[in-house]
Amino acid sequence: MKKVITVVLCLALLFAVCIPANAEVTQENSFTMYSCYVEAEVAGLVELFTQETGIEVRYVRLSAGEMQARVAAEKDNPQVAMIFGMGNDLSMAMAAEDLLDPYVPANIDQMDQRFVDPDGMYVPLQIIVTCFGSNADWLKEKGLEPPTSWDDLLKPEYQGEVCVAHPATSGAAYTVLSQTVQRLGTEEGFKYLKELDKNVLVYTKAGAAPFTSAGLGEVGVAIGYSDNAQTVVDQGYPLVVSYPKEGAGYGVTAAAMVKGGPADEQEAAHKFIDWLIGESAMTLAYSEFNQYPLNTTVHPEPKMIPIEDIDLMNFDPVLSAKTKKENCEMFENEVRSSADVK
Amino acid sequence: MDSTVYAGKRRRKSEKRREFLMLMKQPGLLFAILVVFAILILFCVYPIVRLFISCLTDKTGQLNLDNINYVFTKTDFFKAFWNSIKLGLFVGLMATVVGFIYAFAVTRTKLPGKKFFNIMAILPILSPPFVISLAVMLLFGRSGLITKNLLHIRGNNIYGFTWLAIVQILSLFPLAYLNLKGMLETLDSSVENAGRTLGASRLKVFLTVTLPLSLPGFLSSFLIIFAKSLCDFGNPQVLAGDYSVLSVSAYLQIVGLFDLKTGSFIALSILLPCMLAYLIQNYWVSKRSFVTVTGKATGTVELISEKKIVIPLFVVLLLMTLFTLLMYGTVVYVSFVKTWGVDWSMTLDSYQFILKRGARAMQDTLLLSSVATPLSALLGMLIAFLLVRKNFFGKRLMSVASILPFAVPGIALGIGYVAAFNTRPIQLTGTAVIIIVAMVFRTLSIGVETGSNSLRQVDPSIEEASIILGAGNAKTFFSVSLPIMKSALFSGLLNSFIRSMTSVSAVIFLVSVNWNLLTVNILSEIESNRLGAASAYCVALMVMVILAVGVLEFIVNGLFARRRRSYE
Repeated sequence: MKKVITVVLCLALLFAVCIPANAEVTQENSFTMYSCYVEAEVAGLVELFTQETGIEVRYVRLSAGEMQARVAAEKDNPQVAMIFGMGNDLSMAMAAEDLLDPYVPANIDQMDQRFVDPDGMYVPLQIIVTCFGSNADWLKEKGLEPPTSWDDLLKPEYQGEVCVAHPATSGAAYTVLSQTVQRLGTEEGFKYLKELDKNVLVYTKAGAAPFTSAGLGEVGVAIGYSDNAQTVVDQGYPLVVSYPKEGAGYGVTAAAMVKGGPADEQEAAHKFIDWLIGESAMTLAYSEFNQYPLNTTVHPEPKMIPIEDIDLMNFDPVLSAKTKKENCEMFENEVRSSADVK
Repeated sequence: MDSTVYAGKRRRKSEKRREFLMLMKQPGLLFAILVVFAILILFCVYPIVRLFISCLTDKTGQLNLDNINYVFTKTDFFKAFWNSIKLGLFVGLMATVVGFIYAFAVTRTKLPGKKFFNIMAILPILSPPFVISLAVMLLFGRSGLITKNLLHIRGNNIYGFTWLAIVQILSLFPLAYLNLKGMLETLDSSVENAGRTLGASRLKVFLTVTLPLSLPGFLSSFLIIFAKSLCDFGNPQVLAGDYSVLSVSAYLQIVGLFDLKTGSFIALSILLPCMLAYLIQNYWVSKRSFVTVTGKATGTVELISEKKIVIPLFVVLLLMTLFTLLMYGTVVYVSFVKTWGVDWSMTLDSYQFILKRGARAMQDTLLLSSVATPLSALLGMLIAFLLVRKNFFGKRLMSVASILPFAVPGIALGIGYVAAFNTRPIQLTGTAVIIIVAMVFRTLSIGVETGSNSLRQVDPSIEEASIILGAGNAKTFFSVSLPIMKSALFSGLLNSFIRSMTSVSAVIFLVSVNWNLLTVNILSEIESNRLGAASAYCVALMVMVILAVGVLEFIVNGLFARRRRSYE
């Protein structure tokens, strides 16, 4: 029996010896980050960046909320140099919590100035727009046109056929909520959401999931961000993308430096942010991930409706971020709890 | 003071003293107990207590109950609480019954295809839980292959209690199966044989001997599954719909509303029912213990071969197995299909993708789990041995501490670990150690439970004999107790390996740029809609686990084979 234990312990020891060899890959030319872009996207960007600059990027892919929770939990001893891919609303919230360090890239003046942070706490990257994605077969079966207005979704034909993510877990869904509230005012806005709730089949966790459901025919119409919708279209699903005529809400993705991150990685991380708002990253993000560039000097080969042709609503992301908690609370208490009544 | 009470107190006091003196005479044992305590307090108690305190205080460290107040008044806490409990009770009961049917069929009957059923019963825990949810959605959803294309039902609603319970039962019954199988194997069948010889019918033997003897295992399985169902996050987040449960509420608060404190508090509140169930079970089991392995010569198990018993069992197992296979078949199929629902042509794209992007994560997952598994199982057996066989001060504390990390949702454990081990003196974040430690302690209680159950079946006189013959505590543990716990050790190893390989919510806060895990990748692929890649990852994970199980079986059987005769 002792032999067993010896064998087991030796094995454990062997592994323990292997571990440090794997762990410490601290090269001069590398840095660490948390990324909220999905694996395929962040891997594509990082590969291109390493190809062009020779700098290694070591990253973990997390959802935005998970990332925020981690950066907050690691506050006293930050584990990464920068974060990347979260919304600008989350960036503002994190800046307010004193979790970020400012950084202003030299080429910032090429960016759409409406979205540039005056304090330089984060750098805007891409813009994505709220849209509807309808299953083409379902539309045909029901004899419907793709929805072009928020009010279309309240029609009885859409009963149990609408899918949207939960605003507390998905940035896309929260944009839908907060733009409704900003468009109609709090009272009318929630009245609308309550009406909409009657037609919603399920609130998913991830913002991209509703489009897959709609693509599969699980539901008729999904609401969410245009890049996720277009990805589902690119995969070959029968999804028709349309935009609300009242004006679409939007999200802006961003990159930022983590406060007090590893000192020897600062320079490399700064280079990455500079590169992210440059032409090659912007073009890749548009052609492969369907995100509209915020760099006004970049004009990639068009594949979607040009952003200029979509009516964007007058949307205040600062107000949106500030009211997130109370909005989500109201959503839980008024909209979701009324679900029991039906 | 009443004199009898005083006398009782004095007696208890002197007992305590004797216990203490006994302990002092066995420095090895004392050392083992102290080390186990130190480890448990550091890795089980401290992170959770620290997290709990942070829920009750504000930034400056002052007591602040606003968060609690908020949880009770502003969220649907109570509704979610009762929903979770209802779900846990139902799933716990059903999954334990199913697990018992499996275990009984495999250990007590001449069932054809036992080996096959044995593997099929373990299959559901080989993959992260949300995989079954995914398969259910693809098969039975509103546009599911079965509901829409086969049965032409449109609008089948899978979101809510029913399907959530079905999926949880399916993914959790293997825990009961492994636990009860280990117990039924150790349970000396001569008692059952005696019942038969004395003329009792099969049914009577089953009802009056087998069932009562399995009750401790039954209860501990129920407890494990109850706790697991309460802490489960993967399935409810996909399938719960309007049926709100605690783990999802906690996640919404932490990840959605960026409110670490209220979220952690909701997550920690799951401790209450879990601990209560645990204490009830503990009290109950300590009242009745059944010793059947006595070291005396016993007969071999008389396997049931009557057709009227075997055939219905066979049918039940076959149906369950078919359902399980259907679920996993779907996942395998999705991994080869180009685009589910649109382009059904076969392709290896998904596998190329995961080999390119996930090779590192696969290596890391295998390596870290392989390190964590033996540590967890051995520590579990050691704690089981101490709890069942030895008397010492603080025993209750040890048993509660060992179950703590299991009885909180993974997300609370993960955040607790980051908060506790992010700064000096113990700085572990970003290292492999923190992931290994989380895996070890997250899975520890399964080893403790299975180990205790099989030890309780064994007459302590066997170990006493070893001591009397001059073997020390350590030698007795390693050459007598541990071999007796062989089956339990194996199921402990198996369980902890599988749980380590497939855990999600606990490790999502612990993975780092140097150490990433496969399950985190799967979750990310599901979130980003790449069902093919997610399924391919799942298949890779399952293949790795199945191979590892084979290796494990080989090692454990090989190492113990020589000693087997000595106690049977």
